[in-house]
Amino acid sequence: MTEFNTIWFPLQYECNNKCSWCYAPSKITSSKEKRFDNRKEDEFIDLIYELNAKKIILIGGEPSIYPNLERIIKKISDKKIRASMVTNGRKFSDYSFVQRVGDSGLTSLTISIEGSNSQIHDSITKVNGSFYQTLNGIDNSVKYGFPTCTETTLCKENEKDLEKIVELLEGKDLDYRLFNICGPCVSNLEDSTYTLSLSKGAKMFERVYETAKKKNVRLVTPAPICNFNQELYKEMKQKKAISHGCHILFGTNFVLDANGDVLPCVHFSNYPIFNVYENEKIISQEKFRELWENPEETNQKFRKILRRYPSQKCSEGNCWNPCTGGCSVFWLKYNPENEIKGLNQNG
Amino acid sequence: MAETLLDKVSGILLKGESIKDFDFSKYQMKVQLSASDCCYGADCGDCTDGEGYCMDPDRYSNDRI
Repeated sequence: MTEFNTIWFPLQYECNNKCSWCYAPSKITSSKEKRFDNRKEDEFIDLIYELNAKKIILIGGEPSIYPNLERIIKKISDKKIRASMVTNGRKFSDYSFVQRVGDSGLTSLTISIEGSNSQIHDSITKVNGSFYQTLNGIDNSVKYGFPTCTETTLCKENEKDLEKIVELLEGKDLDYRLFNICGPCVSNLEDSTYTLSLSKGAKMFERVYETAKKKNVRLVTPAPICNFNQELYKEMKQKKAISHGCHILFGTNFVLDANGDVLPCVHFSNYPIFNVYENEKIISQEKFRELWENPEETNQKFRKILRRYPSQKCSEGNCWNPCTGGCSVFWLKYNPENEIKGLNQNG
Repeated sequence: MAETLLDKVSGILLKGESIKDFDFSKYQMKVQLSASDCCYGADCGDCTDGEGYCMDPDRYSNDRI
């Protein structure tokens, strides 16, 4: 039986930034039902509690501007489930807000920073002044004592700024400086000109790593091992600077969207595994598990489809462990035969 | 009829001719054998957005708060 770990709650898709590569495009954000409310908070948290998951990560849109934020954090915390948040950090520039959410029971924070200066960061977020608010938010999070990570999406706009971002964050008491590769969103493939390939992202991260080896940097997007310089890869692996697989292969985590959709990850908006509402009533944890574990249902069929080599080259040599061929979502747009070199060719 | 998750994901991984299944249970066993190295994005905050594995056993926890 699956032991659930992390559940994401996209509290709402409304955001006070407007990043072009966001996984929540306008056709999702415009949907009124894609927002939590008191009833959903209660029902969803009770369900997650009964499923014995350990952590809920509040995401969005932008979760910090959700109206009932303190209430939902307290409800999660009261159930002894860890409550974390991924945020653009702007609201955290107000220290009284930081104190309120901390006192409500929030346990950790990841704050997105996209550039080393206001020109680059604000051009990505499309909000003047967002850079300095985010910086203040990072400082306030650390000051309050939250375990704090930053997260930067590797994209075309900040490609030449990555080392400077690490320099900017040097000296701040951060757990990790996380980086992810800007990838396609399943429901927005027609507008995915902003994405990077895994191989391109891997090379960008190598540059970051080489200039910031002792600064707790980590690439969280799974990329094929053969995308990296192999000597550097061994070092990055040893220093825990790189991830080696995606949870969606295992099915231990999921997103519970505001309309009740259960998603494999946030990049699958509008393509649910199933919905937790039947005839407007939320299903029981027994029913949830039945839908999750039954090999004839969508979830197990979905995992089975994913558990494949993306390329024949993956099955040659001995490069499968611990590589899982990278984030599967990228293969919606990129051809694995071009992206995956195989270790024989890479050395 | 609307396109489903399975329709979409089949399009992800089945478009190449050379794709084939791998022995997931074998892979899973390897991961579980080194489970202290990995919390599947669970608790530690090291991979807070959950897109990757935590590999820091010192911070691994099986429990809720």
